[in-house]
Amino acid sequence: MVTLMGNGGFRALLSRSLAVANAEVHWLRALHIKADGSLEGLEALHAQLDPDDFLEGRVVLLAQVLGLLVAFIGEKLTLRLVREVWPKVPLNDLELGNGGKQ
Amino acid sequence: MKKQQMTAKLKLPKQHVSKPANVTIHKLPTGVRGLDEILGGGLPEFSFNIIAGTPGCGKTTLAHQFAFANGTPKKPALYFTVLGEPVIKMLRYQQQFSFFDESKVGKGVRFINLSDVVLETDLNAVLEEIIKQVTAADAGVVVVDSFRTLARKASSDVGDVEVQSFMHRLAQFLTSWEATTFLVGEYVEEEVRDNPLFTMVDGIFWLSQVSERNSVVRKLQIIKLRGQATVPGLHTIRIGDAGVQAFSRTLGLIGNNTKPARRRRLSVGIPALDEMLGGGIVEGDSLLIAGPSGTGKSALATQFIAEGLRHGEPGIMAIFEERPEGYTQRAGSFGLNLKAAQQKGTLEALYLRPLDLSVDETMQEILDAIKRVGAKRLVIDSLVGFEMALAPGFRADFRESLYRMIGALTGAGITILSTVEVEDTFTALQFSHYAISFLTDDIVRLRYVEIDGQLRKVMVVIKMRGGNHSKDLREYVITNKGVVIIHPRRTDYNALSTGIPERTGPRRAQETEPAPEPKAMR
Repeated sequence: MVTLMGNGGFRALLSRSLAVANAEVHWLRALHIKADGSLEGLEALHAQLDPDDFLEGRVVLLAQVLGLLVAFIGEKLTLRLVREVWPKVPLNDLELGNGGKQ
Repeated sequence: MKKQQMTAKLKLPKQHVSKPANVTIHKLPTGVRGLDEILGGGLPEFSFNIIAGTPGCGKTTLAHQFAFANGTPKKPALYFTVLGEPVIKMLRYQQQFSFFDESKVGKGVRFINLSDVVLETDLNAVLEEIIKQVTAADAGVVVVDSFRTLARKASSDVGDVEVQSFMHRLAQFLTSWEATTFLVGEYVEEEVRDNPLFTMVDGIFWLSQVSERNSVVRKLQIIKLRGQATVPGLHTIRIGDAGVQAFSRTLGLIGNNTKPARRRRLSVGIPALDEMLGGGIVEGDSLLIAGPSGTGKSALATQFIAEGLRHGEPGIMAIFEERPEGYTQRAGSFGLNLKAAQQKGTLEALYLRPLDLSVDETMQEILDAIKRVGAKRLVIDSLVGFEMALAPGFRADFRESLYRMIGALTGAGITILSTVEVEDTFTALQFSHYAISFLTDDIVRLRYVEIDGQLRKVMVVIKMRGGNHSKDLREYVITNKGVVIIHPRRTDYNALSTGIPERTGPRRAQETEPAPEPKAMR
C-alpha cells in the first residue's frame, strides 16, 4: 500500500479510518499512527484487552480502511490491491459495497 | 598471374557489397485515438519523452493511456508518482475512462509512489530507486509524474547542474534498459527555450488550452520527435469517456487519393439539372448549392442522397440546422424512403450542433460515419450551420479546415454536396458571402426572381470544373416530387439574375396557379 500511495498517503488513509473506527470501538482511541505508518500502542493493548475485543477492533479498523479505499477507487481496484497483499485470502464473498458504510 | 586472379576475386563488384541495414525503430501504439497518425505511425520504441503543458490539459490521462496500451505483465509499465496528484485520487479519476483496465493494475501497469524518496533523500537515491524498480520489474514503459515537481524540489536543494546530471543518467539508464519513457510535467511555453530538459528528450508533447469567448479547446503539438516525421501544427484534442482523443490536422487522410482516373457523371436526382450540369455531377466533385432561405437547398440535397441510394451508393448527411427527422419526413413527402436506407445501414444522418466543436472533431465525426457506411455521397447542410456549431476560436480557421476536408474527401472519390445560405440582393448575384467558391468544383445558385407579380425561383450553374455546363437560368418549383425544373430558359426577360428582370417579350397568358404553391407538405 505504501508503494502505491507513499508513506504520507497511507498514513492519511489510516488516520481517517482510525477516526471513523473510534466511534465504534472505543479502545482504538488509544492508538496513534507512527511516522512509518505502524500503530503505536497496539502491542500494549493486545496484552490488556479481551482477545475478542481486540480482534473486533482490528476488524473494524481494517473494514474502515477497505471501505475508504472502495469509496475512493472502487471495489474492483480495492480487491485487486487486497489480493496483492493477501493473495491467499478468498475474497469472493467479501462485500465492500457502499464504501464500507453499510 | 595466380596472385592477380586472387586479387581480382577478392575485389567484389560494388553492387555485391552488402550494405549494413539502418536500424529499424519500432513504433508503439499510444492508446490515444488519432495520435499515432500525428506521430507518423506511433511512438518510437525506447524513446525518452516529455508531456508538458499547463494544468488541466490532459497530460496525466495521456500518460495513463500510453501505459495501459503498452504495459504487460512481462514488460510492465511503471507509473512513478512524485509529489503531484495523490495516487488514490489519480486512480479514482482515471478509472472513469474506458481505457482504464483495472485487471492490469498491479500487473501490466504498476503504480509506485516516489514522494517519500524525493522528500527524504537526494537525487542519487531517487535514481537508485527508479533503477531498482525498473530492473526488478523489467519494465518496458516508465512514466514519471510529475517530473516537474521532482526537478523543482531537486533544483532548490542541489542546484540545476545536479538536476541535469540526474536527468542525463536517468535517460541513459532507461534507454539502455529498452524502456520507453514519458516524463510528465507542468511547464510554460517559455521554458522550452531555456530548460535543458527539452533539449535532452527525444520527444516533446505540448498540451495547451486555448480559450476564446466562452469556449475552451485543448490543443496538442508535437514540438519534436526524433527519428520520424510527425504531422506539424496544433491538433485539437478532446477528453471524453475514452480518455484523450486527438484529431490530426490532416484528418488521417494523407495519401488516401483514390479518385478514379475516369470519373462517371452522377445524377443529382433532378434530370433537368443533370442536363444543365452536362450530364450530372462528376464523381468525386464537390458541388455547392447556394441560395437564400426557402429556395429548396435541403430538398435538393435530399434528392441527391436519395438518387445515390437508388444507385447503390451509400450516403452521409451531416445536418447542422434541421433535425434529421425533418429530413426524413420531407424525403418521405417526395416519395423518397430514407428511413429504409437508415435501417439498412446505407445512410446515416449526423445531427451536429453543439457549440464548442472544433472543425477537426466535426470532420472526424463525418469521416467516421463515411467509413462506417462506406459512403460515396456526402451532404453538408449547411456550411453556415457547420460554422455556427464550432467553438468561436475555430471559426477563423473554418475555410482552411473545410478546404482540407473537402480536398481529402473528394480525393478519396467521395462526391460532396454542400449547401450555403446566401442573402439575395436585388442588384447583383452573389455566390456566397463566405467566399468559399474556390473550395468547390461546381456551384449551382438558386435565387428568387420577381416575375409577373410572383416571387418565383430560378437556378443557374455558375461553375463546373469538370467541363461545360448550361448557361441557362431555369425556373423551378418544389412539388411533391421535390425540386422540379419547369421551364426552358426564358427569353422574354432580361436581367433575371438581378431578381428584378425587365420584360423584353410579349406578355404570355397567365396560368392560374393554386395558392399556395404545391410545395411538398404534410
